[in-house]
Amino acid sequence: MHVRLRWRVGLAACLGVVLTAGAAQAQAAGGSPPDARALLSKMATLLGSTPRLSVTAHASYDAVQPSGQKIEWHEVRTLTLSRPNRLRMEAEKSNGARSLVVFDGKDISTFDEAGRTYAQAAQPGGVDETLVYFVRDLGMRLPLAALFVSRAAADLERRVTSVEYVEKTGILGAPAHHLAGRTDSVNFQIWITDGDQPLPQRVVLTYPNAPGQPEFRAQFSAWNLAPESADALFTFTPPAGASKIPFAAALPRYGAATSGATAKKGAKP
Amino acid sequence: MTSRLRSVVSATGFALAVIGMLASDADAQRGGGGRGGGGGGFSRESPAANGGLSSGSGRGTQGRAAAQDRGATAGQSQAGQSRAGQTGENQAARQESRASAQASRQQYGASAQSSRQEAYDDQHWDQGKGLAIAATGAAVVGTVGAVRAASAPPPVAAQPSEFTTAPATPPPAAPAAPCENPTVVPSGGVSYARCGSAWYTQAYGANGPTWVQSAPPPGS
Repeated sequence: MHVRLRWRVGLAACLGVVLTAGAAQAQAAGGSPPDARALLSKMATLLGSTPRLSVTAHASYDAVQPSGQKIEWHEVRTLTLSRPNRLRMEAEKSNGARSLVVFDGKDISTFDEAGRTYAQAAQPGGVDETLVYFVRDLGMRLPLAALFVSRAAADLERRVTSVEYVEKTGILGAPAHHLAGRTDSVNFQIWITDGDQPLPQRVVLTYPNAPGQPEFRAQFSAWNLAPESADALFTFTPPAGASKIPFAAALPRYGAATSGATAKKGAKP
Repeated sequence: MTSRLRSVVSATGFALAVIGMLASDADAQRGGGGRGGGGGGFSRESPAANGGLSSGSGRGTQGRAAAQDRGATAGQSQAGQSRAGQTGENQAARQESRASAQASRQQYGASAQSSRQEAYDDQHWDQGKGLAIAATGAAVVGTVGAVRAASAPPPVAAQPSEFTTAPATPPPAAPAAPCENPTVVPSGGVSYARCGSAWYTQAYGANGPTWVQSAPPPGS
């Protein structure tokens, strides 16, 4: 009887060990995935709180032609920002058109190399207000600007309606978490570097409500969280012979009353 | 004689093929069109170009339309109630009261809708709405520029200090004037170009400098 009891206790202990080990193995192999929202928030917090950064993005997007055919356009952008109020972006499109955007804390300037023209607007304030003013009010392009405002984490928390963990992968070069999420009008995928510097490696945005469901893609490289921040980098001096022209969004609407048609000032980020 | 004729025909054919290839290559190098267009006349315009986390063609627009629909439905419902009340006593008084309440509700609704819209735009600032203002409000004439760009003179070389990286592709032609031999009138620091009865101003849009149709310069 005593021996039988020992047997039972031993058997139960063995079974317990086997079940526990099995569960741990399942967890490690493909059990509950990491919290996707927490990963996204960690990345946005890092981007939003880093005092200085520079990064290069090889980006492309689809333009659906009237015929329905999709054309993929490419561009390379290098962004350097120094909080609170310095920003520089160099861009080159696939057709060779190069442009420059410089914010020096007082003015936002943009220069087109081929046309030897530049536009400039007074913009006192910080990087956040300037990004909003440049993109929303002046109607200029600065893709993924929402990732570079200091409140990026709060913005994403509010705007992302769902986000799921897809997989962990090393296919892009460094181990990364692949996430898929949605805002109210955009589906997105993002690959975030695993580790203590959760920087984005790649972003894909899909516009499901637009004809042809075009995509925007960006592959990030050369992340630097302590780049050179010499004043000269954030100073725009109009090149010799360059002409100053107005921002198109700041022109009065042709054929409409001029009041209220100009770009509104005073961004509310 | 026949073989000489064959040689001449072959040589001519080869020469034509080479010239054709060279011409095609030159066209390709000149390509790029206007700043809003691409080589071969393809458009660069796209909701995806802005790389925003919200899209103007997304739920925001749908939400606004739905809000307007709801407003219309509410208005119809209120109109129905008004019609039903026409048969009772004190009809005029009730109608006046309802009309006043309806006007008040509509005013509140419009104001609330406007506030909601502003709040939405503030929260979704990167949706690329400004592109629409730049493109439609100012009547961008990028297409005209695209047609003319192929014959524009090559651009002046950039000063090396402006960019920190070397270009990967030769720069495209500068955006051409909106028409052949426009009359250029400087006014208030802005250059206006006159093409027939139309006036244009060069301005910086989402895709770079472009010519936009404008009002005549002051005093002209």
